[in-house]
Amino acid sequence: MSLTTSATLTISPPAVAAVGGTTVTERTQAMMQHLQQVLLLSSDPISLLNSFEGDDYLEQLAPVVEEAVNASQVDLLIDRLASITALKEIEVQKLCNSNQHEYTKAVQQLAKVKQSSEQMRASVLNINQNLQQSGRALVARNKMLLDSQGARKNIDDATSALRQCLKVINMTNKIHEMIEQKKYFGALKSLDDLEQNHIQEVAQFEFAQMIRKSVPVMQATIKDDVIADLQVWLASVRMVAPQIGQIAFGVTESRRRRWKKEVDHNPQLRFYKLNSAVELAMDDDHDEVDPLNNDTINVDLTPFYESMHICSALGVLDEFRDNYALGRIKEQDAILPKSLEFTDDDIAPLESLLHGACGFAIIERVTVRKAYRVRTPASVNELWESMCQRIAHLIDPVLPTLRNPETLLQVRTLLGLFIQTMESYEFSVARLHSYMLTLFENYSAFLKQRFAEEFQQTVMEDDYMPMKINQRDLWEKIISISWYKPGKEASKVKFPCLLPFSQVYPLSCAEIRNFVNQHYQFSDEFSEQNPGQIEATLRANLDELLVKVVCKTLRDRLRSSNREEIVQIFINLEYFEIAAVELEKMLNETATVHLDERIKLHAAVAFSDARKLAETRIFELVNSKIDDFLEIADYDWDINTERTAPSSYLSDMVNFLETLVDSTLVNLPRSITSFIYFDAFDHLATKLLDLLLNAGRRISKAAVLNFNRDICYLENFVGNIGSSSSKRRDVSLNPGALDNSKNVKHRSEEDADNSLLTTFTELRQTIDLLLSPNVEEYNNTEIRMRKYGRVKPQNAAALVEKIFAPPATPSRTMKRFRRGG
Amino acid sequence: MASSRNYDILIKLLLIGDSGVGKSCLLLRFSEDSFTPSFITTIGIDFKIRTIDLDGKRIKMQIWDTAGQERFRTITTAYYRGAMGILLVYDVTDEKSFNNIRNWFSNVEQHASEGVNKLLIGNKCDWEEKRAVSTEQGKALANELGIPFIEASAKANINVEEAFVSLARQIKQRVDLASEPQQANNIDISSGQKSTGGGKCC
Repeated sequence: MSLTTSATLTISPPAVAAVGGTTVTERTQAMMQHLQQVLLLSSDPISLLNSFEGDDYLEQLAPVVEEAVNASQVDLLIDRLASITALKEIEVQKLCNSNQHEYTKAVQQLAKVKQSSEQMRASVLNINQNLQQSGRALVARNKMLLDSQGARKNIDDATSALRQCLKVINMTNKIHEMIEQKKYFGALKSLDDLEQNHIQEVAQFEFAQMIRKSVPVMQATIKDDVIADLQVWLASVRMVAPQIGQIAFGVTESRRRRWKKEVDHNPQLRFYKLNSAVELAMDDDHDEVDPLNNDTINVDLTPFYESMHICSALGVLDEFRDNYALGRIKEQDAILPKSLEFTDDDIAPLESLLHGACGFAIIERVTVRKAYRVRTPASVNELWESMCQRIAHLIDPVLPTLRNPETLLQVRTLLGLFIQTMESYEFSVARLHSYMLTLFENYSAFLKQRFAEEFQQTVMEDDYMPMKINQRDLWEKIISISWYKPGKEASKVKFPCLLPFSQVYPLSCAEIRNFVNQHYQFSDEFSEQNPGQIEATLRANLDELLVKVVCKTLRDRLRSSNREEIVQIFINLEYFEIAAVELEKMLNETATVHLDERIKLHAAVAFSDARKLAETRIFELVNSKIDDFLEIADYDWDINTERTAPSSYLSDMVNFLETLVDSTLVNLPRSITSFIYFDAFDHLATKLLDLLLNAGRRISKAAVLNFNRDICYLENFVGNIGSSSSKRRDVSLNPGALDNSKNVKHRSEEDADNSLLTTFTELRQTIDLLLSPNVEEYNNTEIRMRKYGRVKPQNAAALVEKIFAPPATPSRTMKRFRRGG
Repeated sequence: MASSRNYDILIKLLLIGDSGVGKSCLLLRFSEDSFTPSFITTIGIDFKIRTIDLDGKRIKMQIWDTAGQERFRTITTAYYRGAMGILLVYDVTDEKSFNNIRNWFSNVEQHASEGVNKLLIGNKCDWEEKRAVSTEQGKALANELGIPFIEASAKANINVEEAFVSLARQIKQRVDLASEPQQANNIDISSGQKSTGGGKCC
């Protein structure tokens, strides 16, 4: 401190210069000045004191010292400083001397202060120590506090995060649970919620990413499960489809009954079929059983709708639609068997097939109505059409195995119900209608075949005798069933009586009526797409039946050489012809639809033709008998003796012909018998002329006379026929059957009688020529025209040659005749 | 050709018997060798012709078939007289037809020409399970009536040919015997002159 005070003293420049050369001197001087300044600055004692206490002073001193050192003038500096100090000490000595008392007093005070301060210092130290101790604890605690606070925050964060995670996990679990419980819609919603919201909050966790990644998987699971469930539902619906169909059939059946009652009540309604607008309107107020929801069946469509909504939510509606469509196709496969078997005794398999198909289609209709987006009308119709086709294909092969037309009627009833039911569910039934027609054709063909079989049997078992009726019951039955109109009133008929036809006729009539009725039975009240087709089929088949079965069979029988059979067939054919005409009338009268043109049966013409054939056959048979007789004819052309009686073969023949006409042919109309005689004698005359022409080289006079006797005998017989035949007719067994034909044929009959004689004209003229005393008159045209007009010149020539031919060469007469001819 | 004839002998036979015994069937079998089952009854009368060779002779057989039904009796009886041989037919499965043979026989005795050859035929002999008349019964009746007997079946073609031919043979023998002296007397007469004829025998 004293040093500092002295430093304020001025440093003399010479001292500096003395230290070294110029430069050094300069530097020394500068240092001194600097030191001087420093010291001067602290001339004030207070400030000096202050400056001693401050670093500034030292700092300012330091460069000075440094300069001195550098200028190697340290000694000078020290000297200077020592002088300054000395000066200062003097000053201090002075000061002290003047202020000794005070000083002492001050020192004493100072000592006291020093003591107090010592004490204070100790206290302070003590306190300081104490403070330090307690501060350390505090700091430790504080640190602990801070640590705890950090931990707590971490825990809070973790808890919060865990909660978020748990929520997500719980949701995920819940979703799984819901999927298991098949609450797919809820599951799907939750899944969406999870994905959209909750999972974001825990996105930083790895598990969350895993869950997020599993969302599509879960969605896929839901979709798969839903579609699997849908298949299960489809199968379950299939199981009840037959029951649905059965109930629906029942509904249609009762509607059908109600409508029938209505129609019976009000016949004008008969033009309206079931499912027509009129019927639907009139039947409107009836509460029908819902086939899908009733006492026995309850079809829950929820699974379907749910599946649909879920798939919609999943955005896979297209897939759902395809899946459902595929499912339905499979269901249809399951409902329709690979093959169908039903018999006359058991039609149940067909019934259950149709029930199943009906139930299936009803489900289709309901789904298409309520969810047309996934079940399009187009696909429903497509499946329906294929189902109809398959049903038809299933039934087809069974039809030929059936033996009973009743069964086909049952098939028709079932199909009819099916059609009407399906129509009421707005399905197109055109294909089924056309199948119904096929069925009808089958039925008709079947009836035709059965008729043919039975007819063959009837024909085979027929006795070809006019029916002998012993009882009125049977008579009346035959009259009612056949188209025979008896000549007498029923009350006047006496029993036993004979009917003109054999039993094949009434039996066939019964079968024909049956055949027609069975056709009408088929069409019944079941609606028809085209009712005219039933009529047309019936007409065609009836006609075919009459022509190709009845008429043809009878025609075939005409090949027989049995006269009784052919005669009776001839008679029967007439009644069949009448039957055909009556049937034609009946068909036209009972036609249920307006026909553009009258129904025409070709059968009548066919029967008429067959009758002509039968007639020809009768002629042939009689003529063959003539031939048989001629086979035993015995003409000796060389004979010299004249017979007194006609040839025995000829009398046998005449007797036989009479017997034939009176017995075997007795039931034929007189016109026919007349023609038979005519034909027979015409044939005979031709044959006899042939015999004559084929006689050997020579014909004796006696032979001509014998021949003439035979011809006379025939002429005589023929001349008597006209009168005797009418007599015979009165006592014959003929019950006057062919009354209608009698009048018509009357004229031709007379002609036949009159012309009978003419059959022998040629023979007669030939014999007359041979017996003429003048054969040359043949050469006279006038005479020839009058007497020998029918004799052919070449015959005349040949025969005349024979009669003039005896043993030797031709006579002169002959030569003349030849020349003339 | 001096004569229209193409046979040596004409033999007329007659089939009689109850309705349904099979007369027409026997005839059809013999004349056309055919059989058709049918329920057709002959009405009135019919005949068929067949020519056979017998001992070098052409035999023309005219066989008359009659209705068995009672109502045609008058018509059929008229044909008895012309017959040279009569086949009395019964049905071995129908006793009544057998019992009626006596009636038929007495009809023959009454209406047929004297010396007419007869043959008893039991038809349908193939139908054993239905047989009602034994062969012995048939033989016994034939013996009693003094006529030959044969069982035949038109359906099975048993003994049909034999029946007709044997009767024809007997008739031929009878006719030959009767015409022998005549033939000797007429030895100079031209060969075209017939030795026998249906008409002559009846």
